[in-house]
Amino acid sequence: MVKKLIKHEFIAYLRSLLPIELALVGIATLLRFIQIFENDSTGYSILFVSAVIAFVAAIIVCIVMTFIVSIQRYYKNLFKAEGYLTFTLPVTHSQHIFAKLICAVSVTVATLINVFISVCIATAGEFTVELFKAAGYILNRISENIGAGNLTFYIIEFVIAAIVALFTEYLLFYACITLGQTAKKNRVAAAVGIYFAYYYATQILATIAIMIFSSITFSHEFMMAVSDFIDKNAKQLLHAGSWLFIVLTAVMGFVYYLVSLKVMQKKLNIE
Amino acid sequence: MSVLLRCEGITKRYTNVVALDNLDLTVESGKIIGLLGPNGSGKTTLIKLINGLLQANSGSITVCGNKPGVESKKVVSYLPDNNFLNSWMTVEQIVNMFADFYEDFRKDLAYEMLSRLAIEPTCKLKTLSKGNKEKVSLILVMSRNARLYVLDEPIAGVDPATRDYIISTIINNYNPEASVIISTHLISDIEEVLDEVIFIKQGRLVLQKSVDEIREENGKSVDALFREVFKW
Repeated sequence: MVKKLIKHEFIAYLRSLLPIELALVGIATLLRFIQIFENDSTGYSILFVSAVIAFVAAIIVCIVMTFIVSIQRYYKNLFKAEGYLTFTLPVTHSQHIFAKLICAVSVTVATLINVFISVCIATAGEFTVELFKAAGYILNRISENIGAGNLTFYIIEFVIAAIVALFTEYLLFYACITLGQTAKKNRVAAAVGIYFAYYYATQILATIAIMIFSSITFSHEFMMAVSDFIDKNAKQLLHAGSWLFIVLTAVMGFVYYLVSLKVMQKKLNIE
Repeated sequence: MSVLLRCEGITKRYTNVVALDNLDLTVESGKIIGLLGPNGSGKTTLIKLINGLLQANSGSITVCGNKPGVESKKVVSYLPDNNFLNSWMTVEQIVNMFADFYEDFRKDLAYEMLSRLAIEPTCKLKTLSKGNKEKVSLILVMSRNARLYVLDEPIAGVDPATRDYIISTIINNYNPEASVIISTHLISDIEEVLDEVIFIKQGRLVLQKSVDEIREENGKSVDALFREVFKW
């Protein structure tokens, strides 16, 4: 059933986002095409600057719209009139959340890849070649310093951390929207309010924790031992830190998922 | 006859209102049942509870022996009282969606009914008139081979000709082993097709009787009895 949900979810996404994504590639191609006629004339400068502005605007629109559509798909499809159909399909609440989440993350990643491809198209030529050469050089230098194996692991860890963080961020939005729909009216405002209240509460708690930790006085010997340990095990600690981040982010995501699931099961309140 | 729906001691409270108050109800198979009551009597709340769209504060509901959930949704075909279909979709897309999710959905029957009404499957729902949207919704719901059809105000807000079409679609397309619960205010329009009626007042069951019994025992039509029971 999740596959079927995902199929219909993607159809809805394609309808909303495909024209914008194609427009971005089109503007990138146009920008590259204009550069063929590069000269010192004012006319060219105006045309070039206009195309660059249009390209930057298209990138922003693409990213913002992907985010808005992802959130809107969750809210409208579950808690507005469409929810009467969605929630009467023979599907569990968790399957609904998973399908929405997988599609939102996939579409966001696809948009970021499309933005990258569009930038490559718009800047195709010597500049892009130099840019890739520079990136290759930097990676080689890092590889020489820390070892090729370590670099590969860091890249893998970075990609996993980014994807887990994306899943968790969407789950946080979903939890806020699901809690917001329990309000009698102004549900969107309630969801936004819950998000900001949660955001500021976590910031305050983090600040308090840092203040408490920094007020503790450690002995000189202890600090030296810690410093020595970090020096000797820097690579391992970086790996451990990455995995700690991944696990903690995943746990937070699971908590947000549980909030959405339990509210749907106990307090569903479709408009 | 088997029991399709059983509600035992159902109570549903909103913040300051008791929508359903210790309601007991049993619906057997092979019947068309009118769920009748004035505005705010708890009809839609009961329907939402049957469909798992709300949770009761106390009591239990079973549909074909299952609590509202995946298994019950496989056998309940529900028509809400609002426009619940995605307006950007074409009729064909929404038919395919129903066919994808409901194993009992009869695609051929849906297309047959659509063609009889000259509704093009390629039409987007937002381009259809209100009446045609209602018809498409009903066609989708009645094209399922469900055990229990729950129709919330299916004939409200449509012209008399559409009303007739909707009623004939309900009579001609429901599975004889199934039951149909129709919630409405327009009793006189559907009275002829009803086998049984359920009166709900302020969240409580006032009466559950066959239409024949009402006519024999009370010597009145359902409409006349409704007016008497719910007189202000």
